[in-house]
Amino acid sequence: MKLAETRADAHGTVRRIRGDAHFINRVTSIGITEGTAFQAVRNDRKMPVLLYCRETLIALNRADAERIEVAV
Amino acid sequence: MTNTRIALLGQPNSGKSTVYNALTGSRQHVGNWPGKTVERNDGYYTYNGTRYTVTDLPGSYGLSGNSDEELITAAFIKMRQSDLTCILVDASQLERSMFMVAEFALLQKPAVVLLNMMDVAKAQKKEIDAKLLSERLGVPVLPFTAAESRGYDGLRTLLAAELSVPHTIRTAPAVDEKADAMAQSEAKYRWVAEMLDGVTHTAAPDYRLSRFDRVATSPVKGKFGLCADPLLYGADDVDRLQGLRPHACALRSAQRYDHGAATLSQGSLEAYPEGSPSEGMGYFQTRLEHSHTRVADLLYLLFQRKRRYSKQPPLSHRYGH
Ligand SMILES: Nc1nc2c(ncn2[C@@H]2O[C@H](COP(=O)(O)OP(=O)(O)OP(=O)(O)O)[C@@H](O)[C@H]2O)c(=O)[nH]1
Ligand SMILES: [Mg+2]
Repeated sequence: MKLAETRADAHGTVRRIRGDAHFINRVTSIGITEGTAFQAVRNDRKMPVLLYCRETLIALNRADAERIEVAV
Repeated sequence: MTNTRIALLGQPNSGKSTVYNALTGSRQHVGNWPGKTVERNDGYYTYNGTRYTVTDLPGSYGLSGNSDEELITAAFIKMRQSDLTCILVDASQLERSMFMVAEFALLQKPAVVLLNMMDVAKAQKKEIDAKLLSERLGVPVLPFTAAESRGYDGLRTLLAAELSVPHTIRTAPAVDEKADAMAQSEAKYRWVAEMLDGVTHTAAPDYRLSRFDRVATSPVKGKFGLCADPLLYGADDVDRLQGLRPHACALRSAQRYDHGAATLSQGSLEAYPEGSPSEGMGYFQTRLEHSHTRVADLLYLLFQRKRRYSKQPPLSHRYGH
């Protein structure tokens, strides 16, 4: 499933990140890589997705959360 | 003695300007969101009769250069000759902020690591074996709390010693230059995990939004609401937010990070051609504070299309390159 579809409080693992090298560089430089464990903290409609990974709370734009495949 | 130039490198909000101000007596902008420092600043201090130059750099998540600020930082680190780089890592988010150390390790330049935010790490009951980390890296690792004055004598002494007898990080991530971006980043985090093995004990607990955080990040009432699409997506909207400090400042910073479409090419800063499909991006990280203690770290990552900012002058105008 997509990160954008996760329910709040669900725990999961990032499976695949789709995008060009630029996108990958940015997302990975803040700690989101394939295999990273995360917790969905907040996921409200039309709002960025709040997730917690590598001891950091991250807000990700919905369009970008669509490009991240996760397993929960 | 000729080696007297120190650069402060670190991810956004790691405390670089706080250290810079304390060392040099300057008053650079310090605040609780990333992207405050947008140009490099040079300052000076004298210690034991020697004059040292300190450069405060814009925060950057890595050295791959994704935004203007990151390019300034990467270009300075890679090309300008500072004699020693003081890399700030956030002890409360050690694994993530060590990514910068992984990138720097590939450059084989003299460094010291400043383990900043130790007060926050302690409050979170995180333990860090700085001595073991230092042995692994082969450079000094100094536990530090930039907001307190008592550590600065130790820092000045350490910087002076390292400038005369510098150390370079002795190991580096096994990055395959031909591999794709994901594989390269993964190699860097693998290296970080190796460096931190047995150094830190953080049984990553569940993240719980406190009641305060819930309000602060609520779509209706809080900062989270403030950085919803329409507010971040246009310069005009941000202008209207002026009254809402410090959030408006944070939004401004986030907006600055949106100039992602530039690349480092042959030693100069060069913008991507107009209409390039590459995206800009904004970061918005803020520390929600209960008085002195930061209870949560919010890292906002918002990507936007570059053309929304075509009104802004190109890189060359803004930084005089
Ligand atoms: N608790 C605590 N807060 C700190 C410490 N060091 C810095 N801060 C605070 O962290 C925030 C960020 O500090 P800055 O010095 O502005 O960070 P910076 O690295 O210059 O950030 P950018 O310029 O945005 O990249 C400020 O609110 C500082 O007061 C520390 O050791 N402990
Ligand atoms: Mg700064």
